[in-house]
Amino acid sequence: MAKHPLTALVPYLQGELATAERARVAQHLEGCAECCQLRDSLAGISADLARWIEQLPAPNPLLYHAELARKLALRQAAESRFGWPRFAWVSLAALSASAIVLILMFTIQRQSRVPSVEQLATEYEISEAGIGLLRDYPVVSHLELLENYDVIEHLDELPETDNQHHAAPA
Amino acid sequence: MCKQVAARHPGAFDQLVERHQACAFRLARSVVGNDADARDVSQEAFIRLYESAHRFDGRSRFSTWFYRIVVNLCIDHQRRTKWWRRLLPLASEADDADEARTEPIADEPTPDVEVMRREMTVNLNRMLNKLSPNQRIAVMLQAQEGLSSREIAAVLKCSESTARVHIYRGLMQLKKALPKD
Repeated sequence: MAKHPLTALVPYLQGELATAERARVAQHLEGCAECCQLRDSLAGISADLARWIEQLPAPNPLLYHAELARKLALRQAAESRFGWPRFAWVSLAALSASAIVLILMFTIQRQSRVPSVEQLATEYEISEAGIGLLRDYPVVSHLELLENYDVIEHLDELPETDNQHHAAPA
Repeated sequence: MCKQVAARHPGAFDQLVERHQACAFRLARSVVGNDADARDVSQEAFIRLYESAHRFDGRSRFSTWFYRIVVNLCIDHQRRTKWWRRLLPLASEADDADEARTEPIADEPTPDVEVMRREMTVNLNRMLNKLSPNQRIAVMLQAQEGLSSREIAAVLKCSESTARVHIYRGLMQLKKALPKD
């Protein structure tokens, strides 16, 4: 005997099978008492279930409708207020996240600009020491000349510039 | 009708709600398991329907398209409330019992009929709760709406043969739980 068409029995009862499949199931049912019994049983359960579902309590139609109308009105009001209601929360969250990132970036940038106490102390020491070479860039840019002993020997003879007073250490 | 809703014809949406509200509520009730959530989910489905009626192209039956919306919302709801139900597994049952006493129903039956109805409802809910969500939806759509296995497959987004298996197994489970008479 062919395999029992168990899952095709309900579609068979509903009359939704294609001609070939319907004929195959019908042929099987003619020779299989077990499947005939199952078909009748499934038809009974299905009918019982449909009756029971019909008797399930449903909400009062008027109250249900009124509540639905109120919810729909609220949704439409929100839509007109925000334009894009379903993504309102997403937009709000994205805006908040962007604002937080911007604030963090701004804070970090500000922190990097403000020198620490140690940095300030070092800079102060340098300025107090009066290391003119660090301030007088023209001298610094010509430091390679100091490698030339001839130049070093005749440093005193270099012409005096406006920045000269910065170059001399205290 | 759906085209009229999309065109915002006065009264079209109300008619659609009137026609489908009980079925949508019962389908949602069978999945989410309590009346309050079923009401919220089914009403949300109608709101989605109102907002996206223009997307219905008429290639499938309206009920298939609409029940797909209901089922999706039910699944979303189940996913959202899963952690809560894990924490308080008995809370929903207690709430349901309270709701069953207070929920207004469509007509006013006699006390005997009312008692029988409540008993049947409890039995049916108990039996349906033993099924997997897909089996529950398949059985409900088959028995309540007379949807074909192909349409149920479209709602569940599975193959037709899988939908047939869900229907068959669901009904067989219910057979075990049903009284012999």
